[in-house]
Amino acid sequence: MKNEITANAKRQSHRGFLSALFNIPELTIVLFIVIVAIFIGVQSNIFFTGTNVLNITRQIAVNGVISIGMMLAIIAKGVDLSVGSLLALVCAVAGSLIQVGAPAWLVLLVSLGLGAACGFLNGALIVKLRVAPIIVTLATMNIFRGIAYVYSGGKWTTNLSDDFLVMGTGIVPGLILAATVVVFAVIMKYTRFGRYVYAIGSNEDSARLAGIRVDHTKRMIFMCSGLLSGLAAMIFIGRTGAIQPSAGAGYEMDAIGAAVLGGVSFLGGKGSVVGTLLGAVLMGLLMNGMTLLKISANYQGLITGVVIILALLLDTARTLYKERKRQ
Amino acid sequence: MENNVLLKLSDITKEFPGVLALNNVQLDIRKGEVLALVGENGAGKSTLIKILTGALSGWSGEILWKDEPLNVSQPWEAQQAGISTIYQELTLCPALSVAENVFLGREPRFSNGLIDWKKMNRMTQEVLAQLKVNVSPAAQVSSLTVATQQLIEIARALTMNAELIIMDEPTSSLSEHEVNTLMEIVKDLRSKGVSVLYISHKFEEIFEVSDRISVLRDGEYIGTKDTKDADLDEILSMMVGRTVNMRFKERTNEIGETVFSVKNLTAKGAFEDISFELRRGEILGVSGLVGAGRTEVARAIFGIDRVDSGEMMVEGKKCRIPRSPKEALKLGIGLLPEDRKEQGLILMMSIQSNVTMPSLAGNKHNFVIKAKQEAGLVDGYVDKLLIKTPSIKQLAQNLSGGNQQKVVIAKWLASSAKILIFDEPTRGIDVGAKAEIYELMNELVSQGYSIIMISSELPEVMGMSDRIMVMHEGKITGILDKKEATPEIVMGYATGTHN
Repeated sequence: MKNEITANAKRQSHRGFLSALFNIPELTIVLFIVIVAIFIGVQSNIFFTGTNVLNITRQIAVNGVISIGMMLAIIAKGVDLSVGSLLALVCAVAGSLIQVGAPAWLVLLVSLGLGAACGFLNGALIVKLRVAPIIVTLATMNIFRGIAYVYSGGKWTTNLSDDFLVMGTGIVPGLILAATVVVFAVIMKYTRFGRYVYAIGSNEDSARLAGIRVDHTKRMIFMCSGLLSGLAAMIFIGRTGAIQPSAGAGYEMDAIGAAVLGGVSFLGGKGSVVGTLLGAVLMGLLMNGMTLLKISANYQGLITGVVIILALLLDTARTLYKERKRQ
Repeated sequence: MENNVLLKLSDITKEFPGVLALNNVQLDIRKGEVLALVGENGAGKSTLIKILTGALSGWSGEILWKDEPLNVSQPWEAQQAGISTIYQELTLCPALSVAENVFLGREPRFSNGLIDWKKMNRMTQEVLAQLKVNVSPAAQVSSLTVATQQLIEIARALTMNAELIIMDEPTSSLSEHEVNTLMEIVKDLRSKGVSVLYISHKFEEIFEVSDRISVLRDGEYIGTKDTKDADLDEILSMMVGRTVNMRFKERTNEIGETVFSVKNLTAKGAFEDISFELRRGEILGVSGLVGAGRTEVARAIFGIDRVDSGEMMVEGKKCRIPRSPKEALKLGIGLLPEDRKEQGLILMMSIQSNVTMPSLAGNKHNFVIKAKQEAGLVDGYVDKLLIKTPSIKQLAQNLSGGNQQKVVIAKWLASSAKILIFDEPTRGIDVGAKAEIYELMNELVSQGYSIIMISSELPEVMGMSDRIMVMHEGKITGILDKKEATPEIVMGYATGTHN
């Protein structure tokens, strides 16, 4: 009897290679990436060169790292709007440390710590005030940006030493992103914290009934998001070689875009690290392609928006088809 | 332990504002026994479970668990003490896998802290095989049927190795075959020394599986019988045995011709083959237990949910079954929903706006709201229905339950609806306001309105209805005339034991 059940269960999960492929949630986005890449590649002969690919990984790294934090918040039925401003705040503090001659390792440590602390503050406020994450992080988005301006006096810091540029040059940004992806893929799949993020987003009440410390998990989620913003700030400094309080404006929207494109659901409980990475890749490809094809900046936002809608449409169509087939 | 008593409840009292939900309730559960807890809707069973599982606070009395006072304020504390609960409503995370739901909060891990998926899936497979459930542990819960989800819930409780399992209507969505499997499991648990508190409306199950039966009525403990000495009639009369309250007046209005009827109304999974008629000036009571499909029928008639088949006649004319509330309104049908605050009213808006909402929708010439004309109309209803409010500009959320219900009634009076469906019209309303609502219903039928009244309160159904339609598991089990209906007969039809 038991063996029969096991065999049946196995049969259900391996019903043909094609349908298994069709069931991969990331399929839509992979398809879209291929289409966009071919389209740009046909029009531009430098798109598929090594230099450009490296260039793309550098462009993706900042958004990719932030998007993974955003993914955590969205899976738990929240959102973190403060990530872009937090990046600016971390940059401002890092800038002041650099000016007094602090070593690179210290700056990195302080940046990560500051990011995590600010993220924890977000989480603590959300839990304590019982206010929706979108409201709390909207407030802290303005607060973090405000502090960045006040702290730096609105001034730019440039002429950074090579120590600080390492994190933004060559293959380093790509490696940091890859490491982040691997670490969080493991966290989401193999740790209690990761599974509880899904549980809370799927049904907060049953998570609580099962004895999960929901409030604690929420604080940790936003702390992770803040920590990743701090990390992204270091890549940002290395890549641009300059520190400015207006840095990272609108990055929260790019991160939301990447997460949503990657299949993270605003209804909660659904989404993956790999999907989010693919979402960030698609966003990066678009930006890179539009620059290569010399599309005027006026049109870039318009095109990005249309592509997001198209990708989501395709995904909705696929979900509907799957549901109909199941019935 | 004295007499092998595992859990002893003494003098449990819980008061909600205006309602005494539990009044000095006693209960004891012995080690390795199945105790069935029965009572009508609203008898206090759910409240009692919530207290036991730490979901409710602010009660008085004493709970002894293995002769020690039990102190739980969080659901997981009860679990840790050895009490696990299968709730009536599903408490699964739909986006997670079966295995994760079974072990949520208790995932098996490697020594390095990472989750051991292999072990978790294997253990889930084992418990599912015990329950004869044929699903993969990796399947996502949202892709399963409600019955399978219910079995997953049971699997979860089984893996907790509890000493007491509370089952709150565990079979409400199971098929007969699955019920039999569950019965075997309950007996198996008992032979292993696990106690089960079995809450159900289904007497076949109760008599098959329980050792003793305890009865609650109106928040009071009535008594306990050994199952082998008990018979059904005795238990039923313990459940309903009260004198029907005399506050219901005899109506003298004439009952006219049939104004509304449905034939063979069926919606798969909710109800089937529903046929009844309603006459002018009549109150048709609809009785049944929670989950019998009464609200679903009302929603279908009002065009909220679709039906699969069936016919409807209004005022002698055959018509399409409404596909939206707007269509229902055009046919002259109005609904007072079960959940007044969520569905009946817009709490943040004034009495005036609430009352005129359906009539606004019906009037195409009212592009601009004629506030003065409206105010006159609404003032009239406030006076007529004795709605206690300083002004019609008062927000609905500031009114008492009874007055809120009157606003919902005024809303339909202001529209052209002549056929009114009242779903639990007096739930959560204090006694004084209840009497006023009954008075109002009497007046409505004397003016030629016809009312379908869904109610879980037996005295209300008995006292208010001209005829009583009883439903059980989505089907009509009987339509009784007021003269022939007794509480025992209605309860018998409602539990499906009297056919």
